[in-house]
Amino acid sequence: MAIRRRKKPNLVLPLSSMGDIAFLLIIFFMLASNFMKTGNVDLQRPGAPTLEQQEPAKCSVMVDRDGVVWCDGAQVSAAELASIIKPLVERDRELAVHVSVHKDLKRDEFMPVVEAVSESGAKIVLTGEPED
Amino acid sequence: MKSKKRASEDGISPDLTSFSDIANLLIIFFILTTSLVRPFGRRMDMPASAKPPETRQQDNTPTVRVTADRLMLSEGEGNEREVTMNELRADLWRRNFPSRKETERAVVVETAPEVTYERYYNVVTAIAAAGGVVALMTE
Repeated sequence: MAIRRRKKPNLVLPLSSMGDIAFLLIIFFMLASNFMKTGNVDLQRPGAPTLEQQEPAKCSVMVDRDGVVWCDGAQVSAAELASIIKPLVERDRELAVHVSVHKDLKRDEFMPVVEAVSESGAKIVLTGEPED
Repeated sequence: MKSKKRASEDGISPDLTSFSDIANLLIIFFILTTSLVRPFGRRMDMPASAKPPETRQQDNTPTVRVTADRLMLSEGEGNEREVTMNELRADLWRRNFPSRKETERAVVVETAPEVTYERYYNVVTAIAAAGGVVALMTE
């Protein structure tokens, strides 16, 4: 007697809605992402006990352990800093510039940078590591 | 109209498997590269020297002189005393800067050339935490 093989059901996953959700997630991440422009800068931030969490930086100035100044990932000199930041401040009066300096640098290496940011009229956020 | 009906009858639908694979790869990329960490720091009140002269130093403005191993606090002339970091913090809190006018909240910071940024940072963040305005001493 011939046994008739049962027909396998043809399963098709509806992937169109999954693709829609995936693209919504992509759009969310694209809008919410803030790519690190300064990940390659080698510095160790100083520690202090009275620090607070800050908003992500719109403009970031860093001085690495060799005293090299970086503004938004581009190498600049301390003398150029004020002229770079001033137009940004004119566009956004509440612009807060995050200043990160390597903890072992001496006054003559970090003070021109702090003074230049101060001269530009921007609000200054000095970043560090919180201590207990 | 006719052709549409025929297409659905034939069961033709685009293959979305590779499409969703690409979408998922993009999601993984964005999840890995997104920085959700908010930095720690202290917002400083640090007036630019271009500000009006009334915000500049008065005779009784507290002054913190920072050297590599000492912290000297003075107010006016001839009353300079050595303080520790904790004593400086306590002294700044006692001054109750937030209740004062902006012109009376200035604290001058004089920094010696050998001072490291970490030491300077501890002093200026203590002033900012107490509500003071850091006035930079420029040569």
